[in-house]
Amino acid sequence: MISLKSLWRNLFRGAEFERNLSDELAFYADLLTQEKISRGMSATDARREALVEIGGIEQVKEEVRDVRAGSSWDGVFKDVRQSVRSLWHSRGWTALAIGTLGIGLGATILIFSIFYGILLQPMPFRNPGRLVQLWEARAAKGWDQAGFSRPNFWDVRARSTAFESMGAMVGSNMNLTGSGNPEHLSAAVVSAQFFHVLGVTPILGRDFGPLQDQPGHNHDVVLLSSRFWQSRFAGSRKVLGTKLHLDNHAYTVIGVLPNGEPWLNAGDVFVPMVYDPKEDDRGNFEATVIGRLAPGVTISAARAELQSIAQGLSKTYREDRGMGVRVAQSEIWRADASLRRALWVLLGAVSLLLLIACVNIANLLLAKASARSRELCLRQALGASRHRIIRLVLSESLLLGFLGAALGLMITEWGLAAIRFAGLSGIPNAANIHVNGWVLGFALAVTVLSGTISGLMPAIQFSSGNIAAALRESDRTQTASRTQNRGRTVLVAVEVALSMILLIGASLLMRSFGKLLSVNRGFATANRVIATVNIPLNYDDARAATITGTLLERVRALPGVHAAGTVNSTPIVGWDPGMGFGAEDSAQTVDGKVPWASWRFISTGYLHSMGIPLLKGRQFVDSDFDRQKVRRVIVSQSIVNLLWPGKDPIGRHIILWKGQGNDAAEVIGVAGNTRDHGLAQDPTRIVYIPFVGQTNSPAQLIVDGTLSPAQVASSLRSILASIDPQIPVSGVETMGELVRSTLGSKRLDAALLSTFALIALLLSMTGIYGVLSYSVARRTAEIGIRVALGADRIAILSLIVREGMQPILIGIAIGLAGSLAITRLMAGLLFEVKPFDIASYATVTVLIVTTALIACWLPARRALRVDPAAALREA
Amino acid sequence: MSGASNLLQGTLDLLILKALALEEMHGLGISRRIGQITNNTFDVKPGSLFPALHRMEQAGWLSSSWGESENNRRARYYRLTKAGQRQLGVEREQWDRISMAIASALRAM
Repeated sequence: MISLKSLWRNLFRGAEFERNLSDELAFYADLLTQEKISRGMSATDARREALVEIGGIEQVKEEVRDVRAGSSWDGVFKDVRQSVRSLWHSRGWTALAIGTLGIGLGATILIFSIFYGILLQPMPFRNPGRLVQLWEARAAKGWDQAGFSRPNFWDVRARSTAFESMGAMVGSNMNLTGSGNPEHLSAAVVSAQFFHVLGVTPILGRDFGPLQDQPGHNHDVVLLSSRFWQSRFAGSRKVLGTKLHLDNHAYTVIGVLPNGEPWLNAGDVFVPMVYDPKEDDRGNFEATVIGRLAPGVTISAARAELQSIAQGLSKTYREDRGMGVRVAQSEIWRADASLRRALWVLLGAVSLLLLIACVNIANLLLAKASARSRELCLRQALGASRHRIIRLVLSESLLLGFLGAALGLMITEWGLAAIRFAGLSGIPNAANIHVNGWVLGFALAVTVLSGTISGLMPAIQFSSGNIAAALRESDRTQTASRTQNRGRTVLVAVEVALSMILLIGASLLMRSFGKLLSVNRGFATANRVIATVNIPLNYDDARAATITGTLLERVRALPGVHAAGTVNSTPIVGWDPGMGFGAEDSAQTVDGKVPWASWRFISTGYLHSMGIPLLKGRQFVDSDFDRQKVRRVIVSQSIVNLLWPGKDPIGRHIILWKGQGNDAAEVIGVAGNTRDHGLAQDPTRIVYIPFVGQTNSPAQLIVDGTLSPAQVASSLRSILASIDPQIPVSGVETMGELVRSTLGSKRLDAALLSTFALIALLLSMTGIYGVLSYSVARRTAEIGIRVALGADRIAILSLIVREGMQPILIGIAIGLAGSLAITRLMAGLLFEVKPFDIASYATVTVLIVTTALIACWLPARRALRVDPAAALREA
Repeated sequence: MSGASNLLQGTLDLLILKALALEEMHGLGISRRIGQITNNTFDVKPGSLFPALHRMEQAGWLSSSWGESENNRRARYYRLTKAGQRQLGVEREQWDRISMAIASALRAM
């Protein structure tokens, strides 16, 4: 047992202890001398023999110190003091090392905090492991992830026993009126138990009652999202019980939900979804359905039960034919597959970056330590044990690690602030990403790890050194010893290989991103402004059509407007309604299934306003909007290619909503293909249908012209104020912004990865530069001799460059092999770029060789300036 | 440096405990006493003696105090504590077992 008293004594009364130890040993030596004198020896001889017998007082002291309780602590304090002194002594070197580690650690901690915030942070729900999401599927039609139709949700909920509770949500929009300008709110219509399923209770007021979705109960109640409550009501508790006028109907505020992702900010306001026994549209797959598994029920048991319920529905209702249900655990709410992969790639990339930083530090420590090798060996000769030396070097690298971590945490905070500020759409839940306890724990762990990695190699190399050889080796020795050189050569090769992998990965992503930006979208973005005009759901079609018509007429009359049109869903980011389709005159299938197409309700002028070319036939005119016996439609080229390849499609009939409504329509025009699902997706098959009405709500208005979004917004407001002051304008932005927002995660990936790769390149080049200039400095005398013996500049230059380039070429070879293996994992993140993209590989190789030549050339130039006479005198 | 290499660590502890069993002593005294009781078989050098003394003090078997030596010098005296006396018993028992075991092993040959 180590007594506290002696620990205390050893730690804090070190000076007294040292004095006592000296006294004790001096007394021993004196007594021994006395003994020898009394046996007849001369005083000098007795003294000398006594000291020989003791075997070195300092060594004995060192051994006693080693057994002292707390000696390790005391030693650590001493080592840290010594490290601080030595770091302070070489401030420039220290700043370089801290900067290097700080960047490496900062990048790693930043990415980990994002990784944690998205993939690891517990979701704000009770026992999320028991939560699942459900989708309708029709295997025969080739889709398995559609929302539920409302009647199917009510039926499945009523028949299922595998779930403790089930809830549904339908996204919607509502206009808030009654106080100043009308405001467009995002609304979610939820079944009574939706938040009960999640295990979320309101932070203020109460949840919907369990029967609030049943007929006969009070449905004019509303829950607010925390975000809306804060922004609109400044977090006032008085909001409870007040009335909100939503779509001209009064709702009473009964509660406020907590903040969190997902679902809890799905709408500004949440209103009850009401069960309507007469509702029978099972073709509208609009509801997001979630459920909490009943205790003891496995997900596969639930799946089996849902399958049999679906089979029952499939027999009863025509639109449910072939119905299946897909079930997935709530884990998928955190991030989609591509974001997950991107996060892993980034985490891998920063690990490589950190490793490069560590290798650089190891290199710097080696260079510094070899200058100190005489000091370290002297310490060893004076009795410092091997592990003391290792500890000394490690304490220095760990100290560097902690200083670097402090800088790294600052970089993390700046990075997170920048991400929050930029509001990058690529990072969901960005507001909830913070440096928290877990992130700090991670930071501590990587700091210790990287400090150890950096210090271990120098520590081992120096503690295993031959004392006598090192002491003989003078400061002016011409070349570094072979082992030291080999150690640094290996480090440089490792650095180059790691940077190469990072650079190739980054270059692949950049090229993929460039392709994505330049891909033929099929629609124009320049000079286009988009705005949402939300026509209330309780207006009938005729009223909505009149409003839209008047609005378009007035907008087109504005100076600077070339074209304007409306569509029922926002291009690329919006809801993408679809249907089965086919030709009336031929039975065309895709893989034995009915082909699927998106549909868009558009006004006149939409194709113009979007810059979508008309390839054949004609545009819609006003008469096409009157109720026709046979609808007239414009289809995309991809539909023509599928149904009537090589034939003239104009005048032919297409079946819309095949298997549901089976409406026939006449093709009057063919439009160019567009990438309306997202830029990385294949061109979308689209049927453009002439329709403006209530179903068109909210209408997306696209304006082609020279107006800025602000001008469009104010013009629209004043026009609408004269048409119908209840209708708000929202979401005004340029099409360019809209497209960029869909590239958020890809842009983030490409930007972060390139930054990391460039930092890695810079670090490894400073590594190469450092190693070479150090070796040149040590070889000054040797070079002087060579010059004196007649070596010319070319010979000297090639000597230095060859030495410098050798590890680089080895590193490039390893890096190429590593990249081939690793970039294959990135295939899913790339668009029209193969993982083995020769252009990327070639560019990166040339880049590394070029920068490496520069890094070699700078020290080599110094070698050329060596004055042989001076060099030799110095030697 | 390490004179302990020819002396099992446990043996050194046992000898120090035994040497201090009668009276308190300073470092050289302990060393001489061990020489005397082992018929000069063991010559404990300061390089192993002092680390052992400090280690055993930390273990609570010994306590030390500063006193006057026979020639009026300030000297550090070590003495057995209660725990040290117990430890002496334990170590002696262990040693007996080991030496009997070794002896019987040698006889068996």
